[in-house]
Amino acid sequence: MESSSRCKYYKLVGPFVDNELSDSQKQDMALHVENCAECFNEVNKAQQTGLLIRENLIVEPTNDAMREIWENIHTELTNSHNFKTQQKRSVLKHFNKAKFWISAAAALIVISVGTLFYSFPYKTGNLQSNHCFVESIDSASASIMVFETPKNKMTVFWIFENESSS
Amino acid sequence: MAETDAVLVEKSLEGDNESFKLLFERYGKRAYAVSYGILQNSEDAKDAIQNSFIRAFRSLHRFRKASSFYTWLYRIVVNASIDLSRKRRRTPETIPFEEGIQNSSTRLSSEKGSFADPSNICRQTELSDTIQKAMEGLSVEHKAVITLREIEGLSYAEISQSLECSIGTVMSRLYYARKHMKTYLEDYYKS
Ligand SMILES: [Zn+2]
Repeated sequence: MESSSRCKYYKLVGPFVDNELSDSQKQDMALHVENCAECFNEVNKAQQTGLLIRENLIVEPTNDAMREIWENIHTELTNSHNFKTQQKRSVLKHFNKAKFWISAAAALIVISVGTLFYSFPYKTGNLQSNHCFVESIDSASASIMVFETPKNKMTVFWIFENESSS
Repeated sequence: MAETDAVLVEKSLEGDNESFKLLFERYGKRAYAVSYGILQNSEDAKDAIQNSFIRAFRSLHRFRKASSFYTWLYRIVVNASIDLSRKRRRTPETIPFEEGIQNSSTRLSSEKGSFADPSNICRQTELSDTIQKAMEGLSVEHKAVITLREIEGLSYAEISQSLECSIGTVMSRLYYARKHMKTYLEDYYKS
């Protein structure tokens, strides 16, 4: 149980030492610590605790020890084919990307060729025999010619822009 | 210019072993310090970081670039260390700085030349033992919080990401861990 006579700022000591308070809280706390012996003492101890832990618990393996650890990691990942799996995963990822672009390019070619087939006869005026002219809608700026394919009843529009008269 | 963690992760994902080795060289020692803080045994810490880097490599494709690589890695290191500490209940060792491991206080005092003073050595050993004993009294979760804060200097937000717990939990664990450490260290504080 915490003592009820403790200063109400007591629990802010940790976040204050760890620089986790907002600017205004920090200012308040700094001012308080200057005037409260209990909190001043606690801040001092919290800082020293950190320092003592850092001085006594930080251990650093030598480069040789680290090399040995890496060799073990490398051996394990090589033996279990993890490096290769990662490469395969990467190739697959690239393949998926490539597949997307190949599909997009193929679709574009199909559309272009299709459009060419449909529009070519109209441009030259050589309509294919199965294209039946239905009607022509004329306006001042353009003429719209409507054709229909009897087989699948597909309606084809061809728009001629009228040249502006000077 | 050194490549960023994100670039090294990307290259590792493309199967570039050297990039993963660079990540190991960048974070291996820090990961070791975290693991040692939790396990307090050099052999166990070595095993834990070895397992952690193997796990990290195998799940690298799950790493979200929105978070930093080291908080993601520390999560794996902390979990691997906790798993290991539950499996093996070893007695924590006295820091073996002759066995390829250096403790920063002994390194500092030997560099300063104060290491020659026998009373200093005695006091230093006693202090190290006290800190070890104090750490032993903490749960692995409390050890993890205090290690990530005091040794790694992580912010509360980073600790909460590494431990997958709320910032409130980080604060209360840290508060408890410090209170516990303080009871052991009273004789060593300078006024
Ligand atoms: Zn106070």
